[in-house]
Amino acid sequence: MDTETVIWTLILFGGTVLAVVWLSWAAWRKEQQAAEAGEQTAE
Amino acid sequence: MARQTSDAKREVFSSRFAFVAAAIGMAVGTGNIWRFPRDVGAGGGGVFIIAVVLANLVWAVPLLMAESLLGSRSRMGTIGAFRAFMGRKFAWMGGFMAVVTVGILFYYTVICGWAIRYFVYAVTGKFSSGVGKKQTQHLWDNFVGSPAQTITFHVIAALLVGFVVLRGLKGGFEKVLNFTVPMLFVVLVLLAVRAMTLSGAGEGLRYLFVPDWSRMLDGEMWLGAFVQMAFSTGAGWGLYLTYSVYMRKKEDFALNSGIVVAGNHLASLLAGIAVICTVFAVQSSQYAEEAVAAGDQGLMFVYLAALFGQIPGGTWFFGPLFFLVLVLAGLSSLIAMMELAVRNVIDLGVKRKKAVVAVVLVTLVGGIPSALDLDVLTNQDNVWGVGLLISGLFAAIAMMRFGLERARRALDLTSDFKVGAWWKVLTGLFPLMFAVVFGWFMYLSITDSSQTWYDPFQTFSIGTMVLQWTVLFVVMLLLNNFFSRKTDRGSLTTDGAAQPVPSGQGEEV
Repeated sequence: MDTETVIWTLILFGGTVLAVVWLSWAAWRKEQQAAEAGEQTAE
Repeated sequence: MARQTSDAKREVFSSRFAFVAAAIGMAVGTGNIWRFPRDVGAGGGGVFIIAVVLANLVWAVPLLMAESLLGSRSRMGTIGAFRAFMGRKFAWMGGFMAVVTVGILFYYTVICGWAIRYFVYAVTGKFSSGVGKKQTQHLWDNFVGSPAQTITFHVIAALLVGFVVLRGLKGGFEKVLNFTVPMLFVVLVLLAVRAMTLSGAGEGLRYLFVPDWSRMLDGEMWLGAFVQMAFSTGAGWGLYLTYSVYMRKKEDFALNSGIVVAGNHLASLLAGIAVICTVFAVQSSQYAEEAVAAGDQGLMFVYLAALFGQIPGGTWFFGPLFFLVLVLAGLSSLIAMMELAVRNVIDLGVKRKKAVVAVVLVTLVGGIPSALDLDVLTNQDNVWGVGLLISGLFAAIAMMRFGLERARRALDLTSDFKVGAWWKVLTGLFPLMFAVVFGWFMYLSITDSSQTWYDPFQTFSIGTMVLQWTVLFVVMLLLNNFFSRKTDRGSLTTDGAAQPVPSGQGEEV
């Protein structure tokens, strides 16, 4: 596989994977924070 | 587990994961598997992918957020949402959006039937080592030429989805999609990894990802990217609006829309790698070019099916997995389409059980012409596929009438990722983007010498589209008062939230 293919695969495919992972992580973190805030309110 | 809100007998998704999984299942369809790889090839590889990403950002994300506001604040399907946001004179717009998607539901059930049939073929070892293109072409011709088979599998697909939707959110589509959507991604990853490890797969990756910069200023490439994105993300279909009816009260509109669009794009890329790398690795470049030019069904059911026997483990493992992905992607989108129709019928005052039976029966009848004749299916795909652009325009107009600043504030109320002025700008520019994409599409149709553009009886003509849309417009306008009366739940509050539904007026879901 030539270098050009590797670079563009990393940019376009790897970039999409990173975006999905980052957005999912952000959503998960917000859910955790909301759950913790809910628990504290209950206490 | 879904839980219920206190103000009405309303179920909501049990978690953000459940909502997002359902929404990604709605967006990822057969188009991701068989259309995207072909479009990327035709559009200049990486340059087309870059164009799709841009289209996702300027078109799909803002529109999905608008749909989400419409559904979550009105707590009604497309008809009721337009009634609530735009006033009693505009319920017909929601009706138009619903019928366009139902038009797709009719033939999409037939396509899901094909996927189920080919999955059965694959698990019974139909694509063994001696099977080539000639045999798979023969198999396809025999299948689509057999009304008994196409109708039987159309019925199976409609009944399967009808059963899931009948059970509602709780125990129905949330449960099913929470399992099938992650499974879809696992199988896609498996297939992509397998394809990339085949000798010669690098040529496929080059074809997919290396940009052909000479296409950068090609208008048709940009049009293709916007059309692919509009069909693929489900923006403007009313499906995301429908799932948003069951959204929890506090959800992040921007983040959810972003995850759905990015997840859908990832599914497309995984499918592209799986399909294109397999074709390039197993056969010559010439075969690959021929395969991607063979149309959606030709690529999947003829060219790709002929390769499974030549891949180690292809006949019994990877072949069935390919068609399983197609089945899962198709059914998860079909569930959303049927729920859209059912939700609207429920809003008109019918119980879910009766609504599902009615929608399934109408789908069974409505899909038969497409099951019998591929030309009808292609015509319907064209008419209602382009009609979705009009539906998207309606969603943007609803936001403008409601007030873009007021809508932005309503979106911000529960969002962690605050919605900035960019959303107002992009939604405000939507009619312009629509005019360019739609106008360009019309121009290409008029200048296409293979057909008479004004003839309403030709498969791809503007005449057939305009005729069918006009009939729909007239019928929806005539039904407007009926829709408005039936979906009257009071006006929205200043933050875009629906007034509490009086006890007993909440529908049974």
